[in-house]
Order: sequence, then C-alpha cells, then structure tokens
Amino acid sequence: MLLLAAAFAAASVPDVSLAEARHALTVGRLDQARTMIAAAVGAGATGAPVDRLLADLAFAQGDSERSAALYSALLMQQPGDVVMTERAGLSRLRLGRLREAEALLRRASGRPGASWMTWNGLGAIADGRGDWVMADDAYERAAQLAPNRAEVANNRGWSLLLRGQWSEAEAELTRGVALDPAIGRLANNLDLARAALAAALPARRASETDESWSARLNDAGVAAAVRGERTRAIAAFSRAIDARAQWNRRASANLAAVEHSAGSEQR
Amino acid sequence: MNRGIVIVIAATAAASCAGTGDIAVRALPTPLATGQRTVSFRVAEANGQFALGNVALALESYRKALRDDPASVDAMVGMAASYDAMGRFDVSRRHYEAALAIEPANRDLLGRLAASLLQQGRAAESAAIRLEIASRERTVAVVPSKPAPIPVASAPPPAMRTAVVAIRPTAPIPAPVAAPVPPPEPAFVEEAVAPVGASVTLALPVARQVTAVTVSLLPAREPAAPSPPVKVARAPVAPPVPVKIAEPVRITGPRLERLSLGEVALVTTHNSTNAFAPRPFVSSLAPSRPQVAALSRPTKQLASLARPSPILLLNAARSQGLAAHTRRYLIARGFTGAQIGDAPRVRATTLIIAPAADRLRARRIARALGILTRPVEGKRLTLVLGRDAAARRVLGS
Repeated sequence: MLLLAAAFAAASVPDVSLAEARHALTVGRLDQARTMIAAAVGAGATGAPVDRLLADLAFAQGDSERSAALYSALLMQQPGDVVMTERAGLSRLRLGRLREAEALLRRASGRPGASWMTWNGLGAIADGRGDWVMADDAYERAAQLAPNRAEVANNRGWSLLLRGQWSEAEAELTRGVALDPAIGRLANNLDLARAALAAALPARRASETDESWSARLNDAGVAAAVRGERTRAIAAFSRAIDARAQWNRRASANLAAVEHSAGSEQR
Repeated sequence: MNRGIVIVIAATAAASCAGTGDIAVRALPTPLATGQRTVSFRVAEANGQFALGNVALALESYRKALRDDPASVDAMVGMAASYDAMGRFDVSRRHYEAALAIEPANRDLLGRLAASLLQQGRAAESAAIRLEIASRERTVAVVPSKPAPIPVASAPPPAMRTAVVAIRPTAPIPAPVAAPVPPPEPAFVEEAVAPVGASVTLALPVARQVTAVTVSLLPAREPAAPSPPVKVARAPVAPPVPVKIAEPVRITGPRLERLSLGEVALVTTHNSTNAFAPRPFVSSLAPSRPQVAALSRPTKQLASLARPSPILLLNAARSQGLAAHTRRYLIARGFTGAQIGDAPRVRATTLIIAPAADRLRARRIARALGILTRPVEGKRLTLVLGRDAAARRVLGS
C-alpha cells in the first residue's frame, strides 16, 4: 500500500478524490478505499472528512478499537450525528463494552434516522441480559425498518434459541436463510436449531469433511444438552470426537461438562 | 592411398576440435525477455503470454512491469486477470481494487471486476457494479463537451507547480449531518476531469448530493479554500454482532447463553430437590459454529465455575518425570489442570482414587491411560502412578 501511495505521489495528474474513496467504502471495496485514503493523507489531506473516512474504514474492516476511538473524537465535534453515534455504539458492542454501547445506541435510537442496526444492537444487548421483552421490541423495530434484512432474522432467531424456543427459532432462521442464503452464520444457526428438533443425530452428508461433520455433531450435542437430553448429548459429543482424526478439544470439553453436570446432579 | 589420407586428416581434425573445447554450450532462449525493458514492453509481453495460456509467465512479466512502475494500471489489471485464471479470486480482487484506487472512474476496470465477480457466482455484487458503470456512463453523457471551469479561490495558474486542495462544489452543501442520512445509492455521480498541471476543478452537472474533496498531489501546498462539511453517506457495514454476557439467571431450567463473541454457555441449575445445593451451575458448552464467527475459550470466571476439580498425579514409581509426562499426555487428550507430586510410597501398580461425583471422569482418564483397575473411593480425583505406568511405552519417560 505504501508503494502504491508513493506511486500516487509520483504520478503526473493523480487527482485523488475523497468522494471516490468514500464511494469505494460505501460499495465495499475496502482495499481501494484504504489505498485512496492513504494517498490523500500522504498528500496532506487532513481534517474531519479524512478522520470520518478513517473511522468508517476501521468500522467496515471490523477494527472496533480504532473505530470506537475515532468516532468518539468525531462525536465531540458533531454530537448530533446519528450515524456516528450508532457506529460508536456498535463498535463498543463488538468490543463487549456493553454499558457504553447501550448508552450510545439508546441515544441514537431516540433520534430520527436511527437505522435497523441500532435496534438490532439493542436487541442483542437485551438478549445478553435475558430481557426478552426488550429484545422482542428491539427486533420488531429493526424488522420494521429493514424487513428484508437477513441479519435481523438471524439475531431474532438466535434470541429464540437462547430461550429454548427451537421451533420458532427454526422458522425465523429459515426465513433469514431465504432472505440471504450467502450468510454462513445463519445457515449454521439453522443447523443448530434443526439439530435440536431432530430425533436422531445428524447423518454425514455426501462429500462432507470430517471437520464439518464433527462440528455438526458437536452442535447437535449442545442442543441436546440444553434440552436436557443428556444421553443424546453424550452420544453426539462422543461421535464428534470420533469423527475427526484430530483431537476435538471443544467436543471433549463439552463432553466433560455434560458428564460433570450429570455427576453434580447425582451428588 | 588417397582415401587413407582423407581418413587420417578427418580423424585428426575431430580430435583437435574436441581437445580445444570448441563445442559451445548455449542456454535455450527464455520465454521472457531478459534485461531492462520498458513497462509497456513488459505488459505487452505479458499480454502475449496470457493470450497463449501461459498464465505463470504472464504473471511474472506483469510483476516485473509493476516493479518498474507501481502505478501501472495495465500491469495491475493483467495480474488480476492472471489470478482470475488461476482461480485465486481473493488475490485478483486486491489487484482490481488497487487499479481502481488509481483510476476509480475507469469503466473498463469496473467491468472486469464485475466479470470476475460473476465468474465467482457473486451475481448480485456483479450486477451492482454494472449499475455503477451505467451510472457513470450516464454521467459522462450529460457532461457538456467544453465545461466551463469554475474558478477556485486561490487557484494558481497552470504553470505553477503548487498543490491546491480544491473543493469541487458539485451540489448544494448540506449542513452537518443531524438529519437522517439517506442510504447510499449504488450509482456514483462524480466524474473527475483531470487537469494538466496545477489543480483545476470543474463543476459537472450532477444529480445527487455528493461533495467531493479533491486533493491534488503536487509537491507543495497553497492555502486552500475552506473545506465545507462533507455529507457522509452511510457505508455498508457488517451487521452488528450481538454480544451476550452472563448475567444473574432469571429463568429456570437449562438454556443457552451467549457469553462473548465466540462462546455459548449452557446454563443449568441443580435439581430443585437438593436443598443443600441451590447455587446455579454454569458450564460452558460451545457449539462448533456459533452465531458469531470467532471462537474463543471460556472466560476465566465462567470456566472456573465449570471446571472440574484438578486431578492429582502422584509419582509412585520413582521414575523421574513420570508425573509431568503423564500430565502432558492427559492435557493432549483434553484433561487439563492436573497437579503433580510424589507419592510417599512406591507402588507396583497404578491406583485411581476418585469421589463418587468424579467417577465418570476417572473412568475416562483410566481409559485414556489404558488402566484397567477400577477407581477406589476417595475425596479427590488422584492418580497414583505405579511402576506399571512407567513401563508403559506411551508413558515412559
């Protein structure tokens, strides 16, 4: 990137437009945006627009530590910016700083222009507290703002999983997968819900790798354990351990946890 | 007689030739030209190799071109196409984006990126880029043939080699964002007209509100016009990742709780009939592919609640390192947290002592170590390693 930035400086007529960099960021071409911003900064561009771009870039790249710091600094100058407030909150949510995240997201939600992401984040925070009423309300608002966002369906489905409402979770996650089949996370969560509802342990799919099958067996074990089907859970974890040539530490830890739980209850 | 003379002469000549080393060994000609070549030569050479299907050679030549001119868009595009041909779409995308960073309005480049995405089956993204191309084409079509330049305050004459931070007021500049920000449109409206020499900014008839801050990369800088607040379009961002924390249990019965970005916990409670053990039991159960991408170990606090009591490994064989070796062996099989020590007396056979609650774990450890004896009732899970353990190949130090 430095090389490219240097190339910009050496080029003859290299008008670097921050608007183009912003556009690249908007459409998800992060490498392009990063290079263009670096070139602009190298050419002496400074100020709030550049800081804002850097914050947005960090946010899009998932560098939550950096984006949280940058948005905080920018919010000092523009405290009324709802998008920055929202993203500052979401950055803190990713960092696990839930109290700060909730304060920022609540502030954003009280202003016109709050997006579905604000409410989705508030729903996740409510799930963490087990406040299902607030979670339902937040996801409902998120769904109203963005009825076709698979991410909202995913989070709502996950919330239902947390409550043990497997059938409802499966329906919600199925709807989410229909909206966006490309989100692997959604498909995994749907697998988890289906594993909980299935009578038998998952069968190996055609040309499925050992690792994937082992992972699905482990998921089925987790679901069974949550439902109180301890024998089934132990069977699933054991098969998950056997399914892989390498030692499955996670399944082993889960097996130990379930066995320990059984031992504790006997005591 | 004459024939004999000819044979002798020929033999002598052959011998002398071999002796003086006249047989030259020459390298076969390489497919790529050696020596210093121009960038355009390298790119053309690479294009030729690419057309012949020699992707690796083409890549090599493109790389040489890029080394000589790191801003060569042609070389970047060639490299991207080569990686596309190799199925390395992740790398090809980087090269396309690097090229677009230099020529963001290049519709041919955008078209190539769209084709690459389509090749990967990412039809929606490809279509979005096609829309962007169409939008840029429309923008170009409405540009007057000779747009009148808008004089920029303190803009230097073209001959001056001073840099100008020029503001391109393409649309009414909005106030700092306090109102809802409309989501960005896939289309893009700005068409930069590259000036020659110093920065000259032209106003283009555009339809949407996009404020461009143009930075001209020239050696020196001159006081710039004040930068107006930039209207910020909302970038597409990853969905917020729900983060769950373990809080005081509010509902009864077992349930899943998300503890961190990558961790799910199974929260259960003791049997309600056990009046002496009302403390909730929290154990961590981690799905293989949880809702969030990153997987992490349980937090210490929660793990400590779930962690079984440590195993005590006592060396009763007087074999140095036996307990430590066994601990490593057990750790590799998932039994962590063992403590080691020496037994007061030497034992011939290994003994397992376990409380009733740890009987299952004791059996699993015994199985892992290949010990056939049944656990003996005791207060703490203890493994007294006898000489038989030292003799085992798997445990032998």
